[in-house]
Amino acid sequence: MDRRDFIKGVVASSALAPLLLSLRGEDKAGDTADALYLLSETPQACLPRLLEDLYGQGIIRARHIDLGRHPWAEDLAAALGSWKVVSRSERTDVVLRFESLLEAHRPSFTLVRNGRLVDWRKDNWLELWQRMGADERTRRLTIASFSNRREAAGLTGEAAVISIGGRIIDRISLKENGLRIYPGRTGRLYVRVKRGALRVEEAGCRHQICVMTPAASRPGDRILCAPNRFLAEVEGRRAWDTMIG
Amino acid sequence: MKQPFPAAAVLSALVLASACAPKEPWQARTLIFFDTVCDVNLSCSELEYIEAEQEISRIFETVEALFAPRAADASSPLVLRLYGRAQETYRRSGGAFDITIAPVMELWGMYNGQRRRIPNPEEIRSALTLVGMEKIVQKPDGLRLAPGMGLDWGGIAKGFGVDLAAQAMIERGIEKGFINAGGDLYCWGTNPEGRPWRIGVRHPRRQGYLAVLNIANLGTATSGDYQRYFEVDGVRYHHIFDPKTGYPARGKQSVTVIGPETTVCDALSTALFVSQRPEDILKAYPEYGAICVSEAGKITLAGKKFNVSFGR
Repeated sequence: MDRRDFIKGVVASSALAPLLLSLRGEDKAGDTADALYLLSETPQACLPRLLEDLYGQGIIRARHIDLGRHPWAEDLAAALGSWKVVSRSERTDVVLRFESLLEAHRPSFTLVRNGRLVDWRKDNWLELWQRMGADERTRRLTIASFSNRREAAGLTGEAAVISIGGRIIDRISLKENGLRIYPGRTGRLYVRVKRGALRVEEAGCRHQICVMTPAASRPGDRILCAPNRFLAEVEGRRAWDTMIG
Repeated sequence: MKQPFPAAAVLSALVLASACAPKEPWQARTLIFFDTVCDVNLSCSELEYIEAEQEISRIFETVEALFAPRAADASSPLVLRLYGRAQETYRRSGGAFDITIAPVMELWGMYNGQRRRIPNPEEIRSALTLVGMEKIVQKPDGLRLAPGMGLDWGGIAKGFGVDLAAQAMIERGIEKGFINAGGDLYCWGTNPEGRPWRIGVRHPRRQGYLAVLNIANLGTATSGDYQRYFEVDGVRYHHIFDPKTGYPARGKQSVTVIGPETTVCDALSTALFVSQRPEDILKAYPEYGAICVSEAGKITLAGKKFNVSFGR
């Protein structure tokens, strides 16, 4: 898929919002994961070869993959013989997502690194590219995303878990700006997500410790409102087992 | 000639056995005690954990009740035991750590439900006449406090609770884990990856970490000017008071202490925060080390050195 095809064909997919933001330089956190976009009716036929090549280049650090809810997860697991299939709760190097596009497009693959489309059609991949191009058009898009440097260093988180009284009541994406309101013992808590960071904007508690706590954006960052037994914690891979201070 | 088969068979049996070995169970939970988040991570089964958590809760509830601000109990064995430890730190720190600071805390409205305010100098002078551990008389049946005096266990009780809970877990046969009560932590054994525990030390001025400690079988505690404070005209008034002046101690953003007992780490972190010469106090504690962050944000290490890496 060339750049024009890619923008034209895949732009409609909701999964690409963070990518498009980063291409337009609007993602201040700079935390878009590198990703391989594969348009194919049979991803299990070519994905293992492509991932193996990325692993060989050191772009992927370990042969660990989270197949998510990919409809061909079983076939992919069988095809990825030497890879370890892991779940999201464990350390994951590659995460698969599947999207069904609105229109069918010519089968192809594209690599995005550091927010840029990389032309990958050279050397050993030219033949695969040409062969795929002769196949029937498809709506099946498989996205294999892998951590880039910032994520590996634990600098950004994707979502925050909200719990009240030890019970998880919500999970907020840090990728979408917005305001949420939660009931508390001492009044409502107004939680704002802006540019990848979460903060308690307003709360009915006496000492306002939660409101004064700096915004949470990195895995392990927390905001606690003890009187309301409210806790927001950013999920993700961390450089520590627990945090003190 | 020997057949290679038996060796290969043994090897493959070993490989098979290790592949089939059940994954070591770990239980990680977040509880709320001492008005803060308590992270517990223990190497045990879910069933064992239920009883373990009950025991931790029991210990924390007891500590919360016995050592609440101005708690009336001055005679139970646990109170007298912790009083001994507090007195020891008071002496060795030249009075920088002092549990009789309660009247000053109260004056500034630092306790839950109080309105925070800046008292006038006369009020502070008056409150300071009620401060000083040497004013407490210890009788066989308990402690005698002069009228108006009060005990603030906030600088030592959480660490004591963590030590008691961690000891109880170790006695239960739980060989690895940590208990982190809002920054007062004890960790033992290794982490789930078989390495020393990686303890992130929060940055005193922003989210994220200042340093990562790689430690095992050690406690740690932090005192910081960001944990409880209010601001008036851009000046921060925090909850760590200098018992000599009655005002919030100045000169540091945070002090993290690492050492064998969390109780001592807890008390020492307050003492070092207040003291202008933390190195001198640490001479009396050869097994303890500290990370100090000055008011200007400068980081210095004092006392015993531990494996610490500094991050972003």
